[in-house]
Amino acid sequence: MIPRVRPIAAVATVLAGLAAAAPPARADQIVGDVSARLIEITSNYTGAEIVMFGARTGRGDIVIVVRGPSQPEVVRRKSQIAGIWINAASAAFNDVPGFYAVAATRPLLEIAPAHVWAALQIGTENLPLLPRGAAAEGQTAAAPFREALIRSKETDRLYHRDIKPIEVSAGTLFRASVTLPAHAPDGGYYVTFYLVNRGAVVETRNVFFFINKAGFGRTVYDFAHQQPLAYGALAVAIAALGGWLAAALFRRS
Amino acid sequence: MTIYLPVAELSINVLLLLGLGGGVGLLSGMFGVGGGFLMTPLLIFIGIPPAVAVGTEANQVAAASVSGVLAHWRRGNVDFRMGLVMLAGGGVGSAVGVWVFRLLREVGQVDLMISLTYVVLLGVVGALMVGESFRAIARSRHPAGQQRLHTHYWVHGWPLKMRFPRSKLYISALPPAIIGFVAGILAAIMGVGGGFMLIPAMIYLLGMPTVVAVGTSLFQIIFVTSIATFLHAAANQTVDVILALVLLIGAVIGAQIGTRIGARLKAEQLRALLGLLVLSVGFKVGYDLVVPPADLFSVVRQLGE
Repeated sequence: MIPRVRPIAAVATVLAGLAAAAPPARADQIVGDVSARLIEITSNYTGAEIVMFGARTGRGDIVIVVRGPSQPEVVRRKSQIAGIWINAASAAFNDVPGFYAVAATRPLLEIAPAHVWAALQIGTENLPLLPRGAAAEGQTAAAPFREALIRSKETDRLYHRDIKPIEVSAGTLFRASVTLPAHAPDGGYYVTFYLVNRGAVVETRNVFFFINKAGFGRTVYDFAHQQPLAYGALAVAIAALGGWLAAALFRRS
Repeated sequence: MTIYLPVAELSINVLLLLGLGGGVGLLSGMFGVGGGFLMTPLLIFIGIPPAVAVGTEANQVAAASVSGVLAHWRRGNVDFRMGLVMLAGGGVGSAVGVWVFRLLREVGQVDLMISLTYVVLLGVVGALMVGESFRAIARSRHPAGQQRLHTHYWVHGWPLKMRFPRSKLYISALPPAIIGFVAGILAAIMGVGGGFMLIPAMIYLLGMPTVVAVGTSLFQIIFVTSIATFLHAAANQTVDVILALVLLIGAVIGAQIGTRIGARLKAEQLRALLGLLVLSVGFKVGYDLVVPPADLFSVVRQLGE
């Protein structure tokens, strides 16, 4: 079940708006949107594919960045102590995006030099992941932890180091897609469309979408976190009932 | 066919979960133990966060024990008096265990604690069981020596003596309470009922008849795992009811088949097999601690922010 809207119809609307609103003085403009503004995690949720589409005028390159909701994370390194591997050193990171992917019409370094991307914090290597409490002195020591954090997110398919392709048709319409795995965190995602011309960002647009727990799963999750005592009691009651029911069922047969 | 587990926050194939529940249920039906000591590592192995695996497994063992105890109760194999004394210790034990668990989670050593407890306990209990059952098998082949009717263990000299008519014992209330306390800690830290440890302790340390030991341990496990479930849910929000239910469905079906297989095997053969199983799980967990990990780094999402 992959939620989608019809991108073609939406593009047409966007394009009409662009044509109407575009003042003739400015050559380079970009508009973009995503295929779904709200993705609901239901009990059979298996992830979603988000299509990012839009239109641009002029001949600049397009770069699209998708960032998931940030959360604090702790990275631990195991060390061998007395023959066994134990979590020893650790680094805590404050605002770690829960999802990160970049799409572009060409390899980033062909579009603009590295310092531009560093300044814009685009690309996994440019993410501002700073360990908590460590200012200047901890930076080099924290580098392996930072690298491990990104690597772990890549393994979980939450970060994409590879730049995703953007299809451009008729020189104006563009389209790219990104797959959100089922375990991608819920919350607000923001998609930023950049139009880059001659090594500089000409225009940016932001669009948000949300992944929300819905239906029964949401009820259970909220109940577990908001009323932990009642949830615990209910869990025990369900266990007792389920166990009794199972025994009763099999006694008859 | 996947199902979204709302507390574990991931989607997993239902058939895989049912299969796991069924397989562990089969073994637990064969051997008369809850199977938590197998299920928790397996859940962690398939990607359930360790904290959720432990909290949820306590919940599932509670359900499995309810269904198991009813059959034993009908046959009069539950020593309620003994169960209640053990429970007095068990309640305190599981509260201590959940508290220790929370503390360890904060310093990032929960996985280590779970693993170490597994290695030590499963290693010791498995070795004892295998040794004992092989001696029993050897004895049954050479039926020469006479079995003593009544054995006096060292714990029988302790104060606070109580009568336990069902178990035909007149012993101090302290050893059962201490055994219950230890089992309570285990229930909280390992997400297991502790039957694999309780039953041998009740038979060999207290001198209870085997059938009564099995029934009574189930009775007390219900309460200890229920307390552990409640405390894990309250303190850590790590009990996934959906996961527990799916596992339970698999487990009750597996247990029915397992009980039938178990009835065809001799008691000492069963104990030897169970001992080997316990030993191999302990060995596997221990091996993973010693072998250099594929990735030295691990990432943990901060909870409760």
